[in-house]
Amino acid sequence: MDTGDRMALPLWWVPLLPVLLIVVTAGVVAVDEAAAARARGAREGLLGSAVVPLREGARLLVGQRRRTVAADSVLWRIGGATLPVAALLAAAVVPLGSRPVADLTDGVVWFNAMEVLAWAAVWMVGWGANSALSLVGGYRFVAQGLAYELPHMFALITAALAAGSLRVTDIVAAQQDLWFVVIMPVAFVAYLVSAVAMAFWGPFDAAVGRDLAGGAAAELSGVDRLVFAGGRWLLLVVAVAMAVPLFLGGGAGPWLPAWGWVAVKAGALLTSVLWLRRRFPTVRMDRFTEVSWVVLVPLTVAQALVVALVVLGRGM
Amino acid sequence: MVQFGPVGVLLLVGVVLVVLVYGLSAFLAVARPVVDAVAFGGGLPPVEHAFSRFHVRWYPVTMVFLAFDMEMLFMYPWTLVVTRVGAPAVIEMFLFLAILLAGVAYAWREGALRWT
Amino acid sequence: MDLTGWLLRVAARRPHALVVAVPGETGLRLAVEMELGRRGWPVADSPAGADLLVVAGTPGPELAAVAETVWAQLPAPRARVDVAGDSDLSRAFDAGERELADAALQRHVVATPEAALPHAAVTDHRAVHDIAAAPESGGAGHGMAMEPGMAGGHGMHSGHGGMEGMEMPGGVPMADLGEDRDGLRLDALHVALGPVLPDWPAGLVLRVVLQGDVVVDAEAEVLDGGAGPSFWAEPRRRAGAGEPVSVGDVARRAAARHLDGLARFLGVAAWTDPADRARRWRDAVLAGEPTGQVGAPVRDLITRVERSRTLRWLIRGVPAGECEVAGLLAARLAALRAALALLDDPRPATDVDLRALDDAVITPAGLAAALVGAELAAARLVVAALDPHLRTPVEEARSHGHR
Repeated sequence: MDTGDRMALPLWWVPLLPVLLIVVTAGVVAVDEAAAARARGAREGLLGSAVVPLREGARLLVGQRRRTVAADSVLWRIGGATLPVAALLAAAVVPLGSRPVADLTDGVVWFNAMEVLAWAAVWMVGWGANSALSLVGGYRFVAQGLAYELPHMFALITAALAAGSLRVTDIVAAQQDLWFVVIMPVAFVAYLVSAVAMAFWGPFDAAVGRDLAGGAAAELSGVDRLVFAGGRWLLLVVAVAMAVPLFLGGGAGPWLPAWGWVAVKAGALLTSVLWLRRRFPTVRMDRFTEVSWVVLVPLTVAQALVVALVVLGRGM
Repeated sequence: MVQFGPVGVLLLVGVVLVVLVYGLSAFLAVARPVVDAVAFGGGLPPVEHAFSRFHVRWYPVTMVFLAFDMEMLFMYPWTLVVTRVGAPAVIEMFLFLAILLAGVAYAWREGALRWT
Repeated sequence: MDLTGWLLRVAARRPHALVVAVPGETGLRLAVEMELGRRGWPVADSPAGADLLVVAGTPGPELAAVAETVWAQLPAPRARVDVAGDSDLSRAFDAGERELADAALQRHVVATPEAALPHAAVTDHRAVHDIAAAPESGGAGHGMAMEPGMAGGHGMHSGHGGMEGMEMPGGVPMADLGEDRDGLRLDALHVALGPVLPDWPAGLVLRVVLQGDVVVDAEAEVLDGGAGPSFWAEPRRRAGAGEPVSVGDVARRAAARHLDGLARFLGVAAWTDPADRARRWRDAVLAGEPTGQVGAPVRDLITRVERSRTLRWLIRGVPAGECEVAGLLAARLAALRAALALLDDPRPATDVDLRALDDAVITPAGLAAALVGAELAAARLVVAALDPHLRTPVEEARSHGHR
C-alpha cells in the first residue's frame, strides 16, 4: 500500500477547484430556476433563468447584513462560513475526470468527515440568531442528521469494501469491469437520499422549511445569506457528484474524455435530484427518522453483507 | 502527511475566499449592518430570548446513534483487511452489526424512533 | 464608477417580496400573488430574505403596527408597496422596483432613525403582560425558584418577572421553566406566531408556549377584531341580499376558495409543484375561464394529491381538533370536486342547497385548542388544513342570520 499522492492533480488546480465548483453550482441554480418558472407557467426563457444566479449573487452582495438582538454572532457566522468551506474540502477527493485535487489514501473517510461538518454548521446558524423559528430549524437538522448519517456511512463503506480501499481513485479503478451501482443498487439509492438530506435539500429541507419562515436561515441577510445558501448549493453539488466515482465508474465511458463522462453523469444525477424535489412534499424529520432506522439502516447493512460475501468469493 | 498538502492549501483558499466575499460585501453593501434587529416570529416582537434549553425529544435516538457511530470507527479500517483476513472478518463484523440492529429493533418497539 | 448602484439595478429586476395580508382583503392578496407570479418575483419567507414589503390592503391599527415592525426588520435595499382596492398593481410594483434600484435613495432610507431598532416595540409591556397572564401548563407557576442544581449552569435564568432583576439584553427576559408532558421541568418559550408567515391566515396571531418544538399551550387572536366579510362568501351574500346570482357564480368562487386553501396547505407541506398549479388554476377559475378549460386539469390535480403516498404518510395521524389533518384535506378536495361540477349551473343560487361547497368554520379558541400538544410542523399543517376565515362572534351571528 502506498501513501503518496500518485493520482493527484497538480497543485495549481487547488485555486481552480472553487472556481469550477462555483460555475457548476451557478449552472445548477439556473436549471432549478428554469424548472420552477415552468411549473409556475411563467415564460422566463432560458436566458432569464441563466442570469438568476447572478442577480441573486448581486442582490445578496449589496444587501445589508443584520444582527439580531443578543445574537451569538460567533457561532452564527462560523456556522454559515463552515458550509462552503466544508463542501470545498470534501470536493478535494472527488476525481474531476480521472484525478482528484488530493488523492488521499483514506479519501472516503475524509469526504465523510467534511460532510458531517454541515451537521454542526446548520445547528450553529439556527442557534446563533436568537430567534425561535431559527432555533427550531437548527434542531430539526440535528434530528435529521441522526436519520441520514448511518445509511450514508454504510453506503460509503460498502463502496470502499468492494474496492478494498478507502482511496477514491482505487474505488474508481475497481469498477473497470462492473460499475458498483450494479452490485450495490441499495447503497447507491441510500447514498443519494442521504446526500440530499445532508445538503438539507428538498424533500429533506425541513430545517429551512417554509413552515418556519426559512428556519435556520430565517434571520440571515446580505452576504451572510449568500455564504449560507451558496454553501448549501455547493454541498449538494459535491455530495451528489461524489456518487459518480463511488457507484457510476467515475470517468469511465466511450468516446468522451474522463472529465466529460464525470460531467455527464454528475449532471444527470443533479438533474434528477432537482426534479425529485418538486415531486415530493417536505419530509418531516420524525417520520424520516423512523423509516431511516427501520428500513434504510437494515437494508444498507444487508447490502454491505452481500458485497462482503462477493468480496470473499472473489478472494477465493 | 505529504498527501494532505493540497487539502491544506485548499482549506486556506476556502477561508480566503469566504473572507474575500465578506470584504467585497463590506465594500459594496448599500448600508452598514443593522445591529439589534428584532428576531422574526411573524411580525410581533419576541417577548423572550429564544436561547433556551430545547426539549430534544429524540434523545434516545442519539444514544442508539452513538453506538453505531463508534462501530463506524472499526468499520472503515475493516474494509481494508476483509480480503486479507477473509471469512472471520466478515462474520465478526456482521455479528457485531446484528447485535446493534437488535438494539435498534428494541428501541423501535419501545417507541424511541417516534417522538410525536 | 458606482459598482453598488449597478449591482442594485441588476438585483432590482428580481426582488423577493414579503406580503402582509390584511384580513378580509383576500381579493387583493390574490391579485398581489398573481402580479408577483407574472413578474417571476419570488415570495420571501421572512423579512431578512425580502427586499420588497407588500401590504395588501388597508390594515387596521394593530396590523399596521405589525407592518411597521416587519418593515423595520427588512434589510436594505428595501422598498414598501402599500396597495389598496383601487391601486394599479403593476404601477405600484414598478415604483417599488425603481426604488430598489435607486442607490441614493437606498443609502438615505437606511440612514433614517426609523430604520433602527424599535426599542419601544421590544419592551412592549402589554405584550409581555399578556403572555405572562396566559395559563401555564401543569402546575409549575411563575417565577418559581430554580432547582438548586440548575442554578450553576443557567445563571441567566431569572424568572418571568426577571425585569426587576438582572438587566437582559434588549430588555427581553429569558424563557422560564415549566412542567413538560413527561413530568420534567423544561424551558417554556413564549412565542407569538404570525400574522406575517408564509401561507398563514390573514391577521391570525397564535401565542404559543413551546417546549422544544412542541406546543404546550396556545392562544389565538385575530388582529383588529377579526376579518371583515369573507371574500369567498361574496356571491352568497349577494344572493342573500336578493340579487340574481346563479349556482355557477357561487360554485366558481367556492372552487377558487378551495384551490387557494389547497395551494396554501401544499405550500406549508412544501410540495411546490402542485401548490404552484393549484394557484394557477385558482386564478384561472376566478378569471372566469370556461369549465372545459379548467375542469380536467383541476381534477388531475385533485387525483394527484389524493394518490400521493408520501403526503398521506406525512399527514397520517396528525390530529386537528375533532378530526385529522388528512380528513380536513379530503373534505376540501371533496368540496372542490362538488364545486367543479356546478361551475356552469345557471339555476338561481337561492333554489339550491350549496352547503356541500362550504368551508369548515372555526373560532380562534377552537383553533388554539386544536394545536395544544402538536409539534410545530404539525401545528402549521393543522392551521393550513383549516385555513380558517376567522370571524368575530358578532359577524358569526350576522352571517347565520343570512342562511
